[in-house]
Amino acid sequence: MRRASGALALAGLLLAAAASAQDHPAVVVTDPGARTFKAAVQGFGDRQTKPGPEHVAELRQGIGAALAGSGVFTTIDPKAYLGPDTTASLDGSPTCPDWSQIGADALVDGVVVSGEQGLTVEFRIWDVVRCRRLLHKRYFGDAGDLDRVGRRIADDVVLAFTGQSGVAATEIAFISDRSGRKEVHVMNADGSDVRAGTHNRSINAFPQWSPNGNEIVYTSYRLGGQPTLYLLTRGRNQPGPLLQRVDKGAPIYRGVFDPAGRRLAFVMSVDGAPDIFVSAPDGSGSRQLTRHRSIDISPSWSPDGKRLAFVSDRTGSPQVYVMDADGGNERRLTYQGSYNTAPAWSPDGGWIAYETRVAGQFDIWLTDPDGRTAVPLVTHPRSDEGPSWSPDGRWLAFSSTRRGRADIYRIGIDGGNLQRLTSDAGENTSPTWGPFPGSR
Amino acid sequence: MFVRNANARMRMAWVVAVCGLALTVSACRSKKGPEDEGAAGGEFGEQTLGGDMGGIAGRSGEGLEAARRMGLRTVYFDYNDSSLRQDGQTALRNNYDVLRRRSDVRVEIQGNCDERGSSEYNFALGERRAKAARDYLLQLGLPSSQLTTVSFGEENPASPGSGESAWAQNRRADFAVVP
Amino acid sequence: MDWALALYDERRREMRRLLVLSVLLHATAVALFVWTPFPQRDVVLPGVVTVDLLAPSALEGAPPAAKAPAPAPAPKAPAPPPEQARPAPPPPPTPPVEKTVVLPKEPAPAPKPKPQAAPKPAPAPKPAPRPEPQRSYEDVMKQLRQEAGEIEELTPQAPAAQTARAAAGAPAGAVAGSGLSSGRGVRVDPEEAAWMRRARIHVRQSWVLAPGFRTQNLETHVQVRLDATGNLLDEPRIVLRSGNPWYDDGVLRALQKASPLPAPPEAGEWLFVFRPEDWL
Repeated sequence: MRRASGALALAGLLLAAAASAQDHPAVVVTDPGARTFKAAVQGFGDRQTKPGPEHVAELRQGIGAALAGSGVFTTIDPKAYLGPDTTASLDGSPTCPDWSQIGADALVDGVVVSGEQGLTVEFRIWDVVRCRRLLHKRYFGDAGDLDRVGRRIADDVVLAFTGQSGVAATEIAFISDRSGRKEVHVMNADGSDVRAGTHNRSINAFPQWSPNGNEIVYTSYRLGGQPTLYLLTRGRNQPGPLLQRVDKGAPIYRGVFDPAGRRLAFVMSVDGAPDIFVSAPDGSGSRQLTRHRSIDISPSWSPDGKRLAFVSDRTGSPQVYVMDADGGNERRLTYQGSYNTAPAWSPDGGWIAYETRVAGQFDIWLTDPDGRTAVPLVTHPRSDEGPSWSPDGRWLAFSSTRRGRADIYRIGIDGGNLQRLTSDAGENTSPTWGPFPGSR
Repeated sequence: MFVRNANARMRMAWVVAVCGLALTVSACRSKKGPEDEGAAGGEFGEQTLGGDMGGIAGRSGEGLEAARRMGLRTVYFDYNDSSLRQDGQTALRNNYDVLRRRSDVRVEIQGNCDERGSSEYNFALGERRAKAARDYLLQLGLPSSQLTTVSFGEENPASPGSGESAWAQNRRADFAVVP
Repeated sequence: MDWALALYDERRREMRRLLVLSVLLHATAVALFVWTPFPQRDVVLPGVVTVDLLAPSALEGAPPAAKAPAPAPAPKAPAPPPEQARPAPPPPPTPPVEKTVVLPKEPAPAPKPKPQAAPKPAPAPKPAPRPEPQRSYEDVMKQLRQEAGEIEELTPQAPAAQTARAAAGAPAGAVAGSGLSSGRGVRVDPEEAAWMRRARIHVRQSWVLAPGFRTQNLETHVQVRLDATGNLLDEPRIVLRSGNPWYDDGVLRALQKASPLPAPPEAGEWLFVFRPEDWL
């Protein structure tokens, strides 16, 4: 008897032990320790037929700067590297513990080969914690493209770790009067390399990128008459009027392509009342979408091309509305504040950014497309206007007079990483953020 | 015979091994090969089309000057408003008197705004102001062929800077003689 | 020579005696150390989990974060100040100038055992963000006491989440050695709970999550095999995917980086759940 009970007890204990071994309660981790990964970037080995070792430093510098500005990565000082400082060759794999020990999550190694046709930059992106190669890619170009290649590589690193490419290689177009007149300008997304697009010495306004990044549609009074839409094309010197088949006597402004590039929405004044029209990109087949005596302006396409956000003052003051792309179902979105304009629909369709007047100056808020929630994003006491989304949806560019003259800024949509992009050169307004370079 | 067979077998094995290796290597290379992409950019450009005419938006300053010499007056507006004030109506009645005696002169009424508010809305507001002035003149009896309108929004201030006095001067409808 | 040998013998016998005596004394000391019942020194106080999430200014009323005796560096647990200075309603935007104290939300009452969102970018609009309630000191203390297991939670919960929360949130050792139950009647071994808390803090430090992921309700469950010293024995196994492969990769990376974890109460399979809760 005793023995049996003893055996039973033992069995029971064993069972309990086994059960507990399989049935531990879960450890729930609810708050990450960090928001940014750490990247190590080797100097790219230079295998070349012509001398030019500056490639090595330039590329590393460019990739590192773009990563640091991404809001997703910080870079590790090369002095802390345990592994080699420069990539000798791309045969074989890095010694992952050398990198993970110094806290790196990512390693970028690569080589530059320069030949008669130009440069080939071949690189790899490693997850050094799990010791896996995430990407192996080559870019072709010439020496002048190295800066751009470095940005592309940084964007690829962000893509490899988050599933969403970075925007270091994208561009922002805007209006600046630094030359004395308001002209369309283009710069890199970090504010570098500002160059003028238009030189017509007239009034130029409302630039908008085409979805493939090859053209910019803008409004100009170039010919001394009413404003109308023009198109700047990459690599071509002579911009042309865009709308060939629309009433030339009427003022037309704010052209914006739909995300597929197949339709153009624009504002045309009929009898003094601006209304929103949609047509083919050359202006043919135009349809009037709004028919009020009020001011109906500022169209912004939803990313699926099925709806338009716009501004109307039909209730007496400008407010943000949404309607179907064929003009029906107009619905007001903004009810707070007496002056809400400049809607910009986010690339994932979840938010519409807009500017709202508060105590005489403008702040930037976000609303969901049903108008149920509105949250503030930029609330500086000086005016912040003209929001434009980056193509990855992580950033908003806008124009602010917080330092006196208007400058272009960018801010992460979680409210952090505010960066000023233009500095001390005229009034800079109307930013429009271009698409990913691969779109061309 | 034994040896020959062994040799043959060895050679076969060697050939198979090399073939296999080559296949594997080529397969590996195609799997591990890098993606290729061009990275060249392209530039936007626009040739300068003639020099600065000294005016605004392709209009020389002479049109405004000529209008002033003729005695045409500017109409001013309240903030965010396109309705005509008393002083505006007075100015327009004066302009009507000038223009009905000069049916050879065509004028462009240019609507403007102060810098506050969104620039796009201000284009529309400037248009409304120009139209308000034009409609008043039409009511008084001027032929519509004598009048055109345009809006410059907030892009063409008469008085640079900020503050109420500058803003008040910028909320206006200007008259310019067109050739 | 004989006397030398005799002396040597004498010495050896002396040495042997001394050696035996030494060994005996050491053995006694060891035995005493191993078998003497020392009192439980569980000094981790309730609310450590929640305290992580509070802004520094809100900590005046709450108990201080104690330093656990375990190797995990607990002082890192409260989030770094710059992140605290930006409280806001969840998803993305935050007023950078606003400095209201953000009190922690109640633990999500309706847990989602299955992932909801499609991988980023999700075309559907996001659910309306929950507005941040301003709560009184009493509410905060009540929640802290709830989590300490002193008050039974009144909202009914799914059993799986209960277990998870009881295990993770209960500082069962608040009362020494009593194996307190918290939540709804789940008994959690105090040693296990203490280890789970240490493991959670330890793993958390290795987990990097870019801000864009937080708005997507992603949740990944990973089965991890640990040896007795806390090393990962092999590649952790995902048993519930979030639907976003980059999020899953980040979770696996976190576990890899965290190895070796603090030594578990026993070697074997342990389940980790990664679910960022809105706490910006």
